[in-house]
Amino acid sequence: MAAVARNTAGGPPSAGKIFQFKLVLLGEAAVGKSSLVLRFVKGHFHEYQESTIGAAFLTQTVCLDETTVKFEIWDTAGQERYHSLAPMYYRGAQAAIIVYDITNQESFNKAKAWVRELQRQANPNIVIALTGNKADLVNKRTVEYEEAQAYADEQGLLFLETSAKSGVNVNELFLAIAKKLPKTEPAGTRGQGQTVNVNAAAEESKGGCCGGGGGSASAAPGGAARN
Amino acid sequence: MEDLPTEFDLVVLGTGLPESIIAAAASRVDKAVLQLDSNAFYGRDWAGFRLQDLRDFLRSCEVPAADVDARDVSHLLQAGECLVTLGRPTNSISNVEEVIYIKDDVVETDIAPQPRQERYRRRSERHTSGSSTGSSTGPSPVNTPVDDEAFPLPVGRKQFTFDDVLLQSRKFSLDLAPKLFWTTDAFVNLLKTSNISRYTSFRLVHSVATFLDGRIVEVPFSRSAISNHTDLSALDKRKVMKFMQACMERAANGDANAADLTPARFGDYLDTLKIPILTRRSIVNAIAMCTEDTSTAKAFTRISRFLLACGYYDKSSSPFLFSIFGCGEYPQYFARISAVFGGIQCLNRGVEVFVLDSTKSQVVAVITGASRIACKRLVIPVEYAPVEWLGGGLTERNISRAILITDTSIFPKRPSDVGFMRFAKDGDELGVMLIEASYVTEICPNGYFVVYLWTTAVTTARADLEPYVMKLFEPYRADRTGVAKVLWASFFNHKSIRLATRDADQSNRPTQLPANVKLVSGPSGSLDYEDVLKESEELFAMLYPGEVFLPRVPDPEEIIMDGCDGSTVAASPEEEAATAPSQPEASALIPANDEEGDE
Repeated sequence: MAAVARNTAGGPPSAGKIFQFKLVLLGEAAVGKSSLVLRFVKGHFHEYQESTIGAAFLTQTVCLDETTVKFEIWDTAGQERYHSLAPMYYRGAQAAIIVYDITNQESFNKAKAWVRELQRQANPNIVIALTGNKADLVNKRTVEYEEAQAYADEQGLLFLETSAKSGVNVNELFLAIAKKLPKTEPAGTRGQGQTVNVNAAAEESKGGCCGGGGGSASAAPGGAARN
Repeated sequence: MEDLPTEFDLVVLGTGLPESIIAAAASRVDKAVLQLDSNAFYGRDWAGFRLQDLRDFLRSCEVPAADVDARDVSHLLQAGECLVTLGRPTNSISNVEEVIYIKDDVVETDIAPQPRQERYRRRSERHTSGSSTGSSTGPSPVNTPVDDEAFPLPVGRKQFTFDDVLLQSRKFSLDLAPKLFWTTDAFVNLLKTSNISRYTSFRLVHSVATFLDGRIVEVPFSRSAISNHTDLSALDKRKVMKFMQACMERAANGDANAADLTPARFGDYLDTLKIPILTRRSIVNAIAMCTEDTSTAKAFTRISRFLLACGYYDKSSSPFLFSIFGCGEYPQYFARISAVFGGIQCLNRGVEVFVLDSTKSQVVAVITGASRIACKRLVIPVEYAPVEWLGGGLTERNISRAILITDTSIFPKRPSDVGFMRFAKDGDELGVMLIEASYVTEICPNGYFVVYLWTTAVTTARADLEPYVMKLFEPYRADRTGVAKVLWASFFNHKSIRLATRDADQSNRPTQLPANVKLVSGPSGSLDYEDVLKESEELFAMLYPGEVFLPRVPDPEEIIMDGCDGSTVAASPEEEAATAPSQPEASALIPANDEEGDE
């Protein structure tokens, strides 16, 4: 059975291979993008969630039968508000969740625009999930389930209605994405050869050469983020 | 679109690299930051583009900017204030010349751009009977390309035109101002200490080469490369080793700058060493990156920088890193950091006028569209400054640049990832820089290479650089094998205006410049980011004295939800401590469990 691993300090999940994927959130402001992620990653919900200052990059792990999927989840950091989301945001993303608010037709239209944008700009194999959030507000619904489902089918998208508030379908959403992602490339190998993670590299090198040397010796990797 | 807030601590015009670094740094210390750019894309003169977008952009640079009708904004002024119109920059890019080297007549090749073939494969059924003859004959009518492509052509017999390259436009990421990073770079270190490096990924530059007697020769920079070098005698190897050792020792003793090195001219100094020409060229062209006329002391400083950066990741690794997805990502990374900490970016939105207070010593607001946005401080590119603020004191540097798409690596070492080469040029310390990158850097599709060349402009970019292109490549012809061929090139001149004197205290700053305005420069021809970082850091220190420059962004597990009031996202105590000004302590305080999250 698949299960969501909570974000704890415990050991690595027992499943075999670990795959790491970049997942980006898209959608109009205030549809609940950050709330969905916080529900998924932290298990919280806050009614009056502010725009997510300082928390625009989270990770969470999902265990499937054979494999472990680690999501690097990118939030928009509010850059969608003034139509200024940097393209590097979805560069290299293997999955995207496009969120709309089921009580807001305009947010659904905007979601469709994001689907087109990704189909035009992003990695052609990107897994896209369309998500109607705020499913708890069903009596204020303006976007019909069937309409969204039909659109998702037509475009080949995953589709779920979720509620970050109640938690309904949130884990299921990420699980569905984890299952659909192609597990061909183990974590951290883009191509072959020497891709360098500057965080991981620092201390094995150089020996005594870091000591001095004119204006050039900024060699000591101070504060390298690794221990 | 939402209306912008009307008051900010800092307004930054432009999304170039220094603008974005300063925006990020200010947001990081809780200043309210607004970053505006009249372009629809990030990066200004530092931008990266997909192939077709680059072509469109460069073409647009040849069109003079239209004069904007001055809008009456006097009702937005308060008593005593006055308006100043922005400087009208001429385009920083000029003399754009695009050359498609693929001959227009139909040729056959074994470069088979896959997407097009696959895209049309399903249409091919009705043609299957005629396919074998259809593909092996020569030119086909050009006006039915889709049907031609539909034939399931045997491998190696495919027509190839520039349109095939263009079909992969989005797989290219081409930089206006390409650069490399030193492995020991202060900029790389900043990426690490600020934790921006979690967005970034690099390839080691695998080859460093020089050009000698019409061929490209690997530069021997590591101990093993010197001892394995086939063109050097045993005696030469000892000499080179000794010289390198001496440079390293001087660097280690901190006296690389010492003026006691004689002869003072580097060329004369090299004469005394009696080293072979190959080594001499390698040292001057690629390692010291200078000319024979450079001072020996300066050359030694550069050599030691090079050598210190070698072998950083493994014993034989070169001193350089190349950024995956290219350099155009960097302004975006920093803009994102700004956004993550509350900054607002707004593209497609320029500023027409500044509002000065009654003493004309402070900019109090900018006017964008019909809105007045108050700011306490303002950062703008030099060329946006009205002439009367500058009063001379500018230097204008003009760089000739070329971006090429090629089909084969010119570097002898295989497999080819990224290579760097420099031609020395008399009287020009910059020389001619060359970076070649393959698809592993994700700046081009598999099967192609991107080559950047740049040098100090003498005339037009094409006249300056095409001779070098022709030394290294042949124009594309499918029937030529075993040589490196150029498919396409774009040449352009890239102007960078800088303050002539950028002293640490800017004591020579233009006297008419309002006190709360800081000016940033465009990209120089420098290979690395040293100058940009220095400028950004200095300007930030002047804007916000005493504040920490880009402290570390917390990792996900350090971000805790405050469960009590339910509305804030706060950093953990470690993060608070890490922002303390004392750098050594800050790095010591980075928590042990630093891997992101859950393993």
